[in-house]
Amino acid sequence: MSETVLEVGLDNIKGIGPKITQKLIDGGIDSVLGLAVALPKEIEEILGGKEESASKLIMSARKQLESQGLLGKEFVLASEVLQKRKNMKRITTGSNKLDDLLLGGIETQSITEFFGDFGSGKTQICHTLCVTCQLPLGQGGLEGVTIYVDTEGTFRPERLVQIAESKGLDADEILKNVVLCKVYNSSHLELIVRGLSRFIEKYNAKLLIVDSIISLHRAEFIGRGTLANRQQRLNRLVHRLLRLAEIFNIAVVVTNQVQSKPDTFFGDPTRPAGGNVIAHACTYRIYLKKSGPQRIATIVDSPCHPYSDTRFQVTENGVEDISSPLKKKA
Amino acid sequence: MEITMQTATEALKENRGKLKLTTGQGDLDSLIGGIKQGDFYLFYSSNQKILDHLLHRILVNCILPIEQGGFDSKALYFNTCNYHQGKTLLNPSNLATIAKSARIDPKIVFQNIYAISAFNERQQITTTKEAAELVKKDEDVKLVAIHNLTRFIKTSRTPSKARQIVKQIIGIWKRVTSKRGAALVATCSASRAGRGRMPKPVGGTYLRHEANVVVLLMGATKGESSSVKATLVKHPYKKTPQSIVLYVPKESVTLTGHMTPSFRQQFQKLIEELKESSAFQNTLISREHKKAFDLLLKDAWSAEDVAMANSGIPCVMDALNLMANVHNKKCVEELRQKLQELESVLKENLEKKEEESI
Repeated sequence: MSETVLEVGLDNIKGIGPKITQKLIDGGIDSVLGLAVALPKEIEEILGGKEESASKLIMSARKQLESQGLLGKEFVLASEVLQKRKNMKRITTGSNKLDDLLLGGIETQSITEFFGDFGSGKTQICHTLCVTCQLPLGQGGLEGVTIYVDTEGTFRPERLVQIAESKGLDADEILKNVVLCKVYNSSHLELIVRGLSRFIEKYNAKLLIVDSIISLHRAEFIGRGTLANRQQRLNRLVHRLLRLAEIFNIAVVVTNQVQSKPDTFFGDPTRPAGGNVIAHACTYRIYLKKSGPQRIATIVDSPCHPYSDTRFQVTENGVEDISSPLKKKA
Repeated sequence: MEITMQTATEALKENRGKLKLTTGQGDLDSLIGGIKQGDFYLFYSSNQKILDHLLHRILVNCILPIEQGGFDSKALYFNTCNYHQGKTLLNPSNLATIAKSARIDPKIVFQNIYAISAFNERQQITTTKEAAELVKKDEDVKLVAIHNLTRFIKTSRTPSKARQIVKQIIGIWKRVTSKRGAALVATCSASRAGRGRMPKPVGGTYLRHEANVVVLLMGATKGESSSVKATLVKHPYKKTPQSIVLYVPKESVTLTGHMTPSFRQQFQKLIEELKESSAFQNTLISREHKKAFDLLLKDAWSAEDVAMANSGIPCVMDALNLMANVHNKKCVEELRQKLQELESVLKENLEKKEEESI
């Protein structure tokens, strides 16, 4: 489906002339798919008309894709969904224990969020996924390219070389199949996510990593006065990512920072940043904690996973299982 | 704004082309891997003297030529201080002493450092914006050093507001320095921690998330000598936490004193420099070559070779010899493995023949 979905031009839709086409292209929407997944408010902003007419355009774009069999139907039977989920692929994290926790690895068609304090292994998991995503299908990979959106400046290609060599892979090939995009501010991030469909198609990407999703918004939107605006923009961003994951059948991994809750007297005071917006939008939520040389991963939110946790370690070889279990205190 | 994507191979090339600034301490350099362009380094300590000296030293080093571990460029010093409580600007006498010890004219140092100060949180944000504009305009500025970034969180009447301003400032500096390819070095004080717990930097979780490298410096005075314990708390690719101890003479808890590094330090520094040179990185890209290099390194650490290595930095011929040696060692290792395999096959065949004869 994804091979031809972007090739359908805007001219194929009734009611769109050359002027409107040009306006949409200038606004960053250059395909019927882009129009079908856009929000009415965005189209209204680009075209300057009423929200109703924008909704009509979006609906006709959806119908066009549905009629060509390029977009799934709105109402489908649970049996069809089950069949679709059977075709879903998973990427190994490098640790069997962590894979077991995620029931086989990182899923496609969904957003997996890793959050935790600094040094808890979020970026290390992302780096390992860049390598494991390129493994053959039988070995837990997707044989595909990774797009790495770096907002914190933490991407280190040297680390990819280390991990690839430890797995006996050709480091040069691995590096060629990881595409990096550096982001400098929140508007830039939003622009990139808006235009990502083109790059996913161009590079035949199978995994999209955003490290981290909240960093730039957290620095730019200061105070309660800007909170509502920040959350709305974040909401739009995360939902766009979710749509990309579903349409292109890719896995989306995002990392999230934590914040301390000062009014917590007992228990863990750390909470993921981004509030309820990110909490609701992400399909899977995994909390990473540091425990000496080991890391603890806990499933916090998932539609199908049981609430459980596991331990793994981060070494020169990337994410892997613990070599020797901790000795119990007498 | 354009969307620019690059492959990791291109990113690796770009990363290797980045300059590294020395902190003035070989051990500290090897712990953090030097101060790299475009990265954010956070040093924190409960002893402000240590941070002060470190920052002064880094500022002087930035002006040094590239061959001496500097950036050969200008630096910007941003001081965050309470006018009524602490010092106001740079300490010129300290800076001059360090410059002389680094064999550079103090005048050149003074001419190449921009010094800006903020006395409260409101001033902090406005001056940061102005200073950021300055860095954007002056392409020669390759280092931004911020002294006690989070001071106003403690001293402000509205700490929550000061905390939010710090977030904004970090965002501005990170954006500007990563675009300009300048290094960002900030210091802050350490919070009080319980027994057996590592102190955290004052400034909240956001600061810890944003910094690429976080180092805790702790001073201790025992007997006749004082020492500074540096603990690597966060690093993008090194194991954390790991610590080293920097010994300094008593009554001057500084990182600026003249120190003769041990041979082992010089040796390790030399090996690291070799590993980082582009010619070697291209040679060591294959796993076999890397293994061969490590084996050679083990051999080199014998008494005779140490005496030879102590003669100084290898010249071009030495480097070429070493590269040839690495290649030879790799070939020898491959042949040895093949021989082992052939021997095992031969053994199996002989055993089979014996069985058949029986």
